[in-house]
Amino acid sequence: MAEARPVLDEGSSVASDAPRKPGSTRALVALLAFVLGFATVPHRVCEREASRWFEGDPEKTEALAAGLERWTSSELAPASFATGSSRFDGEWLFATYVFAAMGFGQVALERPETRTTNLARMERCLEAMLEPRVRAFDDTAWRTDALASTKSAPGSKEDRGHVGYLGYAALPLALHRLLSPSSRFAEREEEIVAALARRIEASPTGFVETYPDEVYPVDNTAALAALAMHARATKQAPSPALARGLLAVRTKAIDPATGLLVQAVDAATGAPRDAPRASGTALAAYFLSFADASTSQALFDALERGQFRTVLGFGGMIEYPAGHRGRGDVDSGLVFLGFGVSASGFAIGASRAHGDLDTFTALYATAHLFGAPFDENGIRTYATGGPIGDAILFAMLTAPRATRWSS
Amino acid sequence: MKEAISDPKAPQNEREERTPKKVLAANKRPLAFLAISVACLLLHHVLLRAMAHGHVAHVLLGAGNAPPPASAAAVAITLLVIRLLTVIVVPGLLLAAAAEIVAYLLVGPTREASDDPLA
Repeated sequence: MAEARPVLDEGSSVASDAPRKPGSTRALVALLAFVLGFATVPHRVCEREASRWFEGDPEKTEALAAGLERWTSSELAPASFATGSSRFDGEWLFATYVFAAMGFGQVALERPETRTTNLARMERCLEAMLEPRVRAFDDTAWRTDALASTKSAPGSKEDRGHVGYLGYAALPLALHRLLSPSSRFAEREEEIVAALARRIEASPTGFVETYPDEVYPVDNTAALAALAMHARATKQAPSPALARGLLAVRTKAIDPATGLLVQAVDAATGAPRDAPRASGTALAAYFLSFADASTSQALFDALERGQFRTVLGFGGMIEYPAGHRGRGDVDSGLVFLGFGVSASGFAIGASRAHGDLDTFTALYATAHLFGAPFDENGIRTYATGGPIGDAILFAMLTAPRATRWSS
Repeated sequence: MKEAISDPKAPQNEREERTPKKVLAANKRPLAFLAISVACLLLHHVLLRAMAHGHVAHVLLGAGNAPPPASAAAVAITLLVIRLLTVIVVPGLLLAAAAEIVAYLLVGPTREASDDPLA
């Protein structure tokens, strides 16, 4: 700077004959400008749509809904996914239809003027979701058909489990019934919800198995959300199974140290069999926003308190809490530098459900950065997500406020 | 050069001598930043369209346990890298280029452009 001063003082741009260091003030100014741009611009670029999604902007939701309609109108198959396991490929196919159906239903709920269009879109997903090819992953694991099992005699050997299929299927079916009381899926929805309620009540732990001897609390929260939505749709008191299931989640599946949901529990005792994890917690917070706002809020608070981090304004959820270590799997998705893809994505829905704009904005910025949205002819798709990525983001970005159900 | 410093009219003379060639020579770095930024933006635009139109994510997901098609994998990886560069680095590069150009316009080259390999 000492060398530069005479030049500036004199208003001169002429190089002096005094020795100058390479790089000079210009380079320093450039470096400072670069750091300023690096630190302040990228997340602002990526979060600029967040408030519109948070408020349920019709243009945005319709563009993504149209993209999902395109995916779900074509026939997806388990071979469309590649987790390395036929069971997980089937789960992803099923999840694509479930989350797409939830997204269409949530938009129909939020914007009644779109109800006809979105109910038709939702019904295509519900039909696909109930097809044998889509539920084959569950049938193979149980060696019985999930839907046939709902008609088995109460208390019989066949009247157990399948919550990984029935719980997730029941929630969009119940939402459809709420939107359309004369739903053509009402009978199917009634059977599934009744079977889930029976199984929760009969279970020694209050949990229903996803696969034989495998219990995942997050799958049970989907079933509990379905029970709550069924009660609203039919204007009946909730089944006692709802309270029993919620009690099981609160007392057995929430880790007292972290407040996060344990990923797996023992089928016989309900004791934890896996670490508390952000991916299951975030998805459970979304599901429970339909059933029990306070438990959902407690899970979301635990996530925000312990797992939420920002880097340069981009938000993400750390998959494993302090003291626990693990790798990415089919539940967490890719785990990079501790951040979980699924946890961060599902937390978008939880933050919207609980009206937390700041967290929603930071998480959306990350989804926007890595999702690579592409808009054309009024249709949006997230280029790196494929059908399941679009479906999950659609459901999360349109998650209804938890307060909606408490009034 | 001594005369230039002692002569108060020298700066104006210097500015008057800013031929396009000299201006370019003195602003190689900001121009390189601009070129990199424009290239990243264009490449990002092309790759994003290719990825979305070719349903590349879907192709990758649908590859089963076999290795994914090399072209699809290449497009996906390149898009991710270019997108990160475009979103994270390019704003800084553009600001740096703008700052350098403004500095050049205000105070001129800090020394003979040809002496500075980066300038």
